[in-house]
Amino acid sequence: MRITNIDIMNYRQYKSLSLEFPESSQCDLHILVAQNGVGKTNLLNAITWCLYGVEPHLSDDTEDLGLPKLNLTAIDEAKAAGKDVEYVEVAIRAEDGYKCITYKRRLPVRIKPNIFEEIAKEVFTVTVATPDGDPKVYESREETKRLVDRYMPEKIREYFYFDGEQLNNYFISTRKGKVKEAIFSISQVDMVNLIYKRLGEIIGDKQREAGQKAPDVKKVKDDLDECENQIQRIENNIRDLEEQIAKSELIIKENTEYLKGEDNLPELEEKYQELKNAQKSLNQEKKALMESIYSFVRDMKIALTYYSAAKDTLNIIEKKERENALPPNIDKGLLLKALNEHVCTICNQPLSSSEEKHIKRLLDSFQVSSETSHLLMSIRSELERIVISAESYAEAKNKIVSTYKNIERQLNIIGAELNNIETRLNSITDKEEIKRRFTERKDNERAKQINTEKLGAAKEQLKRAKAQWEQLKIDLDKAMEKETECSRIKQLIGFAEKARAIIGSVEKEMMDEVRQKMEERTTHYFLELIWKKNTYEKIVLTEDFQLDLIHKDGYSCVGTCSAAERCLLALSFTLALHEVSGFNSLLFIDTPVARVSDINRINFAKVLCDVSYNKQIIMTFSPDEYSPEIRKIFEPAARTSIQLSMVDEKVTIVS
Amino acid sequence: MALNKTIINKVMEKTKHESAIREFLMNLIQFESESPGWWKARYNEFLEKACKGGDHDADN
Repeated sequence: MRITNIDIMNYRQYKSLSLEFPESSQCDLHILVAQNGVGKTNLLNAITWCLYGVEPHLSDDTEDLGLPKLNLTAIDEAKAAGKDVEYVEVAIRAEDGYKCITYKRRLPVRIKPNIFEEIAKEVFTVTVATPDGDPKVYESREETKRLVDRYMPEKIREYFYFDGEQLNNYFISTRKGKVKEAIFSISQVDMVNLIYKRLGEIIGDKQREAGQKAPDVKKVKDDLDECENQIQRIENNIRDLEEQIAKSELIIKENTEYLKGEDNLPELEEKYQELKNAQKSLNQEKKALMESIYSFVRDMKIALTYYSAAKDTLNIIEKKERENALPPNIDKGLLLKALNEHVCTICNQPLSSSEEKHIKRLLDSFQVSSETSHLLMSIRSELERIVISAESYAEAKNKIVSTYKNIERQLNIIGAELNNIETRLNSITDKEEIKRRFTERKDNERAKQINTEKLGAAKEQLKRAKAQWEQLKIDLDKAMEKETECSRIKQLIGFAEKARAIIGSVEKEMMDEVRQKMEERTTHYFLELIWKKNTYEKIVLTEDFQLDLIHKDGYSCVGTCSAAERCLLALSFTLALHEVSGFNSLLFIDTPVARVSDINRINFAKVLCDVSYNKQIIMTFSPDEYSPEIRKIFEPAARTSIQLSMVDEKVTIVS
Repeated sequence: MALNKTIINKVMEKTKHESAIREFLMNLIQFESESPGWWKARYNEFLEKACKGGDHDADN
């Protein structure tokens, strides 16, 4: 893009100024020469105000005096004409191929006796005209910003429009970070990096989306297969059970037919065996009873024989007891000894007369001797047992007889039953076959019952398995649908990853190439510009894009070189940046050689002339700067050479 | 911002056998050079379009 016209109305020194920068087939170089104070730097401000609404290069005087943007003569004229409002307006017309783009900023200012009030916001419009149709006017902030950034992005404006007097500050430490930023921004590596990062974010989003949707089709399918196998197994089991039941029913039916009218031989035999066991048990019981009867008779014979004597003896003992005629269980000899010796035979203490009297009364009351009393007491329990046994004889005898008779009766019944069963068994001719058939029928009846229960459970199991199969089938259909969606997302991810890898490799190459080319071209321009051809070796950019000037002796000297050299270094860097970035916008330099003199100026002029073959360059000079040596080089090459001057120290015009 | 031709050339070179990716990346580059702001919807739109185009080619 190149600027073709700048029209300024009522902006600071400029009452009405139209500058044209026609294209040339040779150098696209344009020179403006003006004394200090005429408005060279404000021309730069007019451009940045128009495009970005900022005036970064205001002189200290302008700022100190607080002069309005509105031109002073325009204020006077407006007052004289009785106008309330006057406008400040800057328009920049540019060409991009067949497009003609006009950037215009307009500021309304209220005219008051001593106050110039900006009464409304600036209006910024961009008009794009093409040969095909009517011009299109853009007014919204977003659209106009887009159209500015497309050609002259604000964040890197200082690499398009810059003040030569400030060039020596370019690489002071606080600006170091900006070098990398500027390089990546102008060469658009940052845009490539942004695409790389954003694609990464898109891929991340898609992966999360796929993760959420990703169905485990294989698992569902495996579950379904397992369910189908289970159904198959259950159905086979049901079939087997039904066959077994049918088989059992057939066997039961056949055996029932065969055994019609026959005794149940196994049951009969079982009953016979049970009766035999009962008979055996009763006989054992009877034998034991007989033994107890013999013992009973023996005991009873004794008891009954001595009953009368034992009864009488007990009566006598009881009578003596009632009369207290029996001595206590004390040795009568001891009592006599105590009386004779007047000493207690137990505690060996002397007896009192009252104690002795008591012992005498006790001895007088005893009618039988202690030996006799002992004998009576020792036989008493035996006498009682004999009496009780003899008196319970009848009852005990009846009980034993009853038990015996009961056993006999049971034995008779069992014997009769056994005789009956034996008769029936003896009447069966083919015992083995009947027994086998009875057993077989019974076994099959049991098997049928078990299998019928199993069949019921299997049918219930089959019902549940089929319901599970139905659900799994639905799950599988859903999973298959999701898989289709998922595969679509995976396709998008694959595609985006491939694109991201490519843009990543572009970024990497760009970074390496840009750094290398920047080093080469900055070194090239710098060595062209400075007169000391044998002092500096090269300019390097570190991995972190820190710029350094390397002396021939190998040491870093960016911090020690002169102000003029730093200016040329900055200019070299800027020229290299424009060249390497391929960014085809103009370069506007205000007072480019303010700090450069002598042979460096000549080199500067030669280099800028060369650069202007491929790039539009606009430069402003003071008459002193625009020295004969420079003029000699620029004059033949410059497409336009404009002289600016002031009228009444208020208005700048083209001379 | 006018596009850096080096970027364009590199993308063209690296995608000479993959027209869908080329178109996709060129769309992204064009978008980023012109339209700051909401980007995700546009990226997804370009991606869907590119893959749909790929399907179409594959179908053919």
